[in-house]
Amino acid sequence: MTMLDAAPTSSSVRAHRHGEIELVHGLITAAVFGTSAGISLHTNLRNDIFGPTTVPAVEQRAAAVAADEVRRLRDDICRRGLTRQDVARGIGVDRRSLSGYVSGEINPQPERLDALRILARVTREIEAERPTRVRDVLLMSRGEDRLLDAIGSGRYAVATAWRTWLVRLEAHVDVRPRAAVGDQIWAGAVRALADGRLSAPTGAHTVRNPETYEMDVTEASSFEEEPVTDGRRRGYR
Amino acid sequence: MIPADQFYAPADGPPQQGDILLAGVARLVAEDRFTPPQWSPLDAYDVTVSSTGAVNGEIRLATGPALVMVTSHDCHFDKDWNRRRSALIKDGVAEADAERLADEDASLDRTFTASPLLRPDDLQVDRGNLMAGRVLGYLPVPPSADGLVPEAVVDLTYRVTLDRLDIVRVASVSAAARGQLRYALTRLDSLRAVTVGFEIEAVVGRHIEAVTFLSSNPLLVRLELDDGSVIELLQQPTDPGEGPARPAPPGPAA
Repeated sequence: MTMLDAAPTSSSVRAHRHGEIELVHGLITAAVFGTSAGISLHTNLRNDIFGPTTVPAVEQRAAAVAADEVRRLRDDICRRGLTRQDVARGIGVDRRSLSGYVSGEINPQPERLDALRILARVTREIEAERPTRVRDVLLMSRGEDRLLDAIGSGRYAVATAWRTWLVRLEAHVDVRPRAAVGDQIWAGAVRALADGRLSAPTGAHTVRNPETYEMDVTEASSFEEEPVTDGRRRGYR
Repeated sequence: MIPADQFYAPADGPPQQGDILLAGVARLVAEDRFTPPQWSPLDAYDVTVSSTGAVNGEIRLATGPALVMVTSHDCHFDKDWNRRRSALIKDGVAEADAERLADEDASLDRTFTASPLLRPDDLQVDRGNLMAGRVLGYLPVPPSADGLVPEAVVDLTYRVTLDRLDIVRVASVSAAARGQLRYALTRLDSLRAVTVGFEIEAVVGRHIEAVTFLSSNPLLVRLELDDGSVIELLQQPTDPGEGPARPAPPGPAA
């Protein structure tokens, strides 16, 4: 019920911007409950009192509110470097659906709105720490997976832990030569290699009895070290 | 040390224990990047990998090119290959085909261990003992006739794992040299006093079943042989040698 405006003090029916009527609910709730605070019962009342003709008005209102939020979040995300196509992908829909959410023609499912809110939050966080790299981060792949797709598929925990994802991807390698110490014992071999005088060993193999690779660990007793106690010397039997 | 003409052997065929290779070596180091002085020539580069999961977020390596000696036994280079061959034959594949299929599998027997060669002068060890092969953990290597291997010692306390497909062979060694390597490895890694019992057994011609001494008379050592006989060795009492002692404190004697 958060889509409802602050409770008005008088009853009226006003034209909605999309041509649907909209119930202004303050008096109704006040009349029924003696207060204008009971707006959460509005949905039930509408059917009881006004019948089904009021349903499209309320839903349209909800769609309009959702559309406003979707537009605001989408634009917020796009300002940080993502395309609208990226945003659609990030919430797991196609671009037409996203346009439908923005125009109010389609009322987004709650999970899509959740994904959009998460995406907006993650992009804000990434931009705060890595300005201009929001899109790079969201599209960085780990195997076949991308952070953007993790959000779209509802894996919000992965998305909100984007720093972990990023750090793993950004394992940094630094190589620094040390000052040479002593002469290089391998220098002659390197020259020989460059001259083509060295080669790798061949891959020829020797057939060996399987017992070559087996052992009986109980035979290790002959290698057992004697403790110094009981008068025996330390050593091998 | 074995003379060079008896130490080296023709370098051909598959990899063998004792082969001297041109390869890279690497070891993990602490944050202060400490390098024992004798390994300074090996640590040509510092590599730092910053990543989660590493201690303090970093994996630090000291690495560089080196000459190394193969320490893995010859049969190590055929271990996977023999297993694969046997499995294929057990599955009904003809012997020749099984060997061919195993040969074609490049993933078999890829890794082995090796130790780097160092200049004797880079070690703070008595050079005479070092090159005579009396210092535990080091195997003396004479210079090769072709000049590719200078006089060196193999530092068996530095062990690296290498890939068979990422090496170049510089030299191979004789059976005698390989025997010395095996002895040095055994002495270093497992049996500190491998020869004592063997030498006595060789002298008396019997197997020693047990060695005991009486706490009441620790100078008397009893060797119990496999034929039931006993040899008693009596250590001659002498003055105790000069042992470790704290210096007298400065100032007037008490």
